[in-house]
Amino acid sequence: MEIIMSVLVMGLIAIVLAVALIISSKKFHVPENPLIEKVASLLPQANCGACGFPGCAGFAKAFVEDPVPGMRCPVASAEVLKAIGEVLGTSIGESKPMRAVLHCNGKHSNVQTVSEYIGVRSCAAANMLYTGDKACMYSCIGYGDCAKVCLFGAITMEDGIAVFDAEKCTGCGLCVKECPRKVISLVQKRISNVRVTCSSHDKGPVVRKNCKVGCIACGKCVKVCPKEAITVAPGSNLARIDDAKCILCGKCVAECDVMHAIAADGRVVKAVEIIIKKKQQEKEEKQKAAAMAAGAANNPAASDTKEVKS
Amino acid sequence: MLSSLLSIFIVSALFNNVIMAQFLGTCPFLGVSKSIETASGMGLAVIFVMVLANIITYFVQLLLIWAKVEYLQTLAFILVIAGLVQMVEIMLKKLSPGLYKSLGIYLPLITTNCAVLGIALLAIKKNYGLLESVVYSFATAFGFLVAIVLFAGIREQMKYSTIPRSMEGFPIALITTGIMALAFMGFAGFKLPF
Repeated sequence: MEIIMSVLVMGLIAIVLAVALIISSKKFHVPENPLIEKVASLLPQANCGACGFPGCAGFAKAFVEDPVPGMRCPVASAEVLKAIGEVLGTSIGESKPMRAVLHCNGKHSNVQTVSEYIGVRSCAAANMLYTGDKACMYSCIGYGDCAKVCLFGAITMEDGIAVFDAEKCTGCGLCVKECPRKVISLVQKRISNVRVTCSSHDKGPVVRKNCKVGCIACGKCVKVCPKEAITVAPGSNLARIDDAKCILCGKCVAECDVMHAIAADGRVVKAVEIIIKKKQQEKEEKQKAAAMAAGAANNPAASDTKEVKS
Repeated sequence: MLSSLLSIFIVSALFNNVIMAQFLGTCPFLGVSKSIETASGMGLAVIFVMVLANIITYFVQLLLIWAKVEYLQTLAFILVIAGLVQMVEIMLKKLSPGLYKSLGIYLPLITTNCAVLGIALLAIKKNYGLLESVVYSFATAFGFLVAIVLFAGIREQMKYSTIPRSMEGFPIALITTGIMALAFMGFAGFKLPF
């Protein structure tokens, strides 16, 4: 009896409320632009907030009702933007998809470990305590704050540094904001990417002491770059590649053969291999030519090399 | 009669302030207190919802007593309050788009505002009649309005002061709330002249 009564009472309350809600929603209906819903359904629905609006619905509303030039969803692919453009009957300017890259190669095998960090496994916390466990105070700390914040599973932590999956990365920039060391930046999503994998502003000898693969600002890459895309800002002790100017020729990667502080991924890797091979061949030819010249002069080879050395 | 209503009003608005003494409804208190304008909007919405909820839950309670299923009180009240807030939201959207926009996500949050449910339950527990429970809920919501507007004023001032980095945002807001609660404790021990 009691069970039946409770079901009846709750059902009654629910029905009355439902009827009241239906009536009020009909009576107080606010006509909304139907386009907003359409645009919202096309958006990625990640609600990451990278556009600056509270979620995808907020962006869709602002985008339909009063679009500001340059406003876009940084996560949506080109096709999605095209589809939204078709819905709105306008073309959305070409958007450059971006991706995040790490400017550090401070794997545990490359960088000196100077201390043991015991505490919250968070880069932000470790950063407050001087340097984390690595010697370089500009390095990726490697506790994965960026991986935690990534909504798309594009970041994995491997051997103490963040590894970015170029396919999965949408360029929303949440990791860039999260990183306490600021070693992540956004670059254009192209077939490949060439970047300086170091953020250290220390002077050359200090970098060498701390890390096997740091940029010592020797400037060789600056000279070899055909597009003047690489600069070493005065006082920064660090080479930086202007992503907009870079044509992905890979010459700088081959040139940086002492510290290996410039890295490439994607198709450039093959180009780099070819350049390195060519360089080796040239070197060998030069050596041969030098040996030939030495032979022609009829001097004993041993004394010749001694002369050169002295 | 009048003096007892007045004492209910003063006691529940100031002495037993819903936030500062009972710690109910802290979520909207911290969430919507960034500016006085939205804070007062939230306060008014809470007054509206709380009074309406108390009137309706009074009759729901009568229904429950009649059906001898008082143990469904919490469940039924939550259902009623949730439906009510939905209705308020729909109405506000039409009647006052400005307020609707400034309240944003916090209006649906009133649904889960424990203050609304708590006051409805407390009014039943205290055996208040309809008029008393209306005064009680109005006074409590008024206390919420006072507290949130005062707090928003302090927070607006705090924007211009230098706060240690680790204290910025919610930590300093919670500490401020604590100090305000201490100030409200000063009311404890007062004896009403009537």
